Amino acid sequence: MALVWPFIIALGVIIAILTNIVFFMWAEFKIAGRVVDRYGPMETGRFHGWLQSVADVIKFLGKEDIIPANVDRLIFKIAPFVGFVPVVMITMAIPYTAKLIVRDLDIGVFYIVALSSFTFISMIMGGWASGNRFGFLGAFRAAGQLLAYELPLGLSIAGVVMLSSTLRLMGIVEDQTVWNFAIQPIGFLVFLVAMQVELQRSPFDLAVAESELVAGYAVEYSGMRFALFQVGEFFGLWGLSSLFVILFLGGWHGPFLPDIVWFFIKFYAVFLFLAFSRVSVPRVRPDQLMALGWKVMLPAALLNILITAAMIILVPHYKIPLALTEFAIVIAALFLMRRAVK
Amino acid sequence: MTGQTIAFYLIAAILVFGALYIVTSKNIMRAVFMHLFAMVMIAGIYVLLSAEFLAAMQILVYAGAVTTMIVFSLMLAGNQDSPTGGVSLDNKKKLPALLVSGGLFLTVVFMIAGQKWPSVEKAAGLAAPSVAAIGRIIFSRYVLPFEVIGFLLLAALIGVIVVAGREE
Repeated sequence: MALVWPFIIALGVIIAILTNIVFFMWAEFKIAGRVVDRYGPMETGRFHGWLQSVADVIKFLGKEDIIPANVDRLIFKIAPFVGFVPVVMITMAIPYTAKLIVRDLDIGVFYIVALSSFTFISMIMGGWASGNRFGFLGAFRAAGQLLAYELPLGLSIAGVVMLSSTLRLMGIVEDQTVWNFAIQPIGFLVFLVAMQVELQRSPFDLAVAESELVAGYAVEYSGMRFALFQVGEFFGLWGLSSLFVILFLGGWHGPFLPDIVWFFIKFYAVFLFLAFSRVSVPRVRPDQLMALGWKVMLPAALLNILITAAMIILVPHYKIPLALTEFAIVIAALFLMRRAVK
Repeated sequence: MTGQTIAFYLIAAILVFGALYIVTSKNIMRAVFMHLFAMVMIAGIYVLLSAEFLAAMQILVYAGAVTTMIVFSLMLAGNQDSPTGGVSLDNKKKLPALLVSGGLFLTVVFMIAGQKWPSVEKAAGLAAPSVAAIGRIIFSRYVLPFEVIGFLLLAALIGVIVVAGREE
């Protein structure tokens, strides 16, 4: 039984994610529609088009898998899998509650960060192998973003790891009597931005950028291979949003309600935030994104580590002074930015 | 034959195939992607040896490094398949190349063969060292090599900035 249990959870997790993805897609259509004063899908399945994404999935399954003549066939074919398999592996290491986890790895955080960078690799592979200029531009934007945002993402997590002095995700959740976003607002903000870059969601979806690069790296893909990129994106969304909840929002902790309910309340809140930020903020330019990554995110993440380390060593009860210092810095930075904008 | 041994030989076979593909391929992009594949295989061997932290680091570091290599290989060598052509990947000085690489190969082989290694089964049976233990040993016993490596990388970083900044 002890050996079978992880497999049952793994299967359950995958089924849960796949059913969720279908409704995530529908919810994104509806939210995007509402924000720009449209209805979104209304026809399929009568009530507010709730079966729209199911119909989309069936369409993808039935479509022909077109491989253009001038592509590098081998790399073109395996690129979607290079992106898809690691993000599924990520969802296996996430503790939804203290019991509901497939495997609590000793290196949990690093496992997830290491695997999440394969998304970019698959974009580079797909974009380059397509032999298409838009695809190629998308691939190179993905490469630039991987180099610029891998470090801030890892370093913002390092701050949390220093607080709880473990890499185990379970240990990080158990350690949070106060949720980490209140202790490390700088790390919280850096992770929030780096996560959206990693997920390639607007306003940071420069490798896709449908209004300028058509579909970027995925421009030559169709049918199931294209669907695999899309589904991989949602698996990545699931994995990194869960990681965000675990690292900064206290995982399954919360009063009155059962653990699993609290986890998913927070998780869907993160999803809603991402869905709204996607449609309400204009896309940044590539040079702005690079400048933000190297000049703001990386120094901010390093500053977070520096302050945290200094507080842990110098102050006996470091959590409150640490939180006050970081909040002061965030408010000062916002104030300066406001003056710069004026 | 335990599961570990079978997995080891399987991974090793794929790894050797990948490594040979890297050096024999005429297509530089395929070689770079195969390089990533080989690095993942090495991470697999680390996992077999219960060195999970090292495996994660291997993937984390080389995923970024491979991207850098992609960018540089395309900028420096160009795409071999493109109509404009790129830099030829064939080396004209075959004998010196053979001597240098052969000498390096023999040195590494003798160094590896000269060590007494525990068997894969034995290593897999050992308790995995915790990340905390690795951290403690790096910052106590091996703190000097660690600092030297850090200093070396810093020197390289500054060197790159100096070289790149000179053109302006």
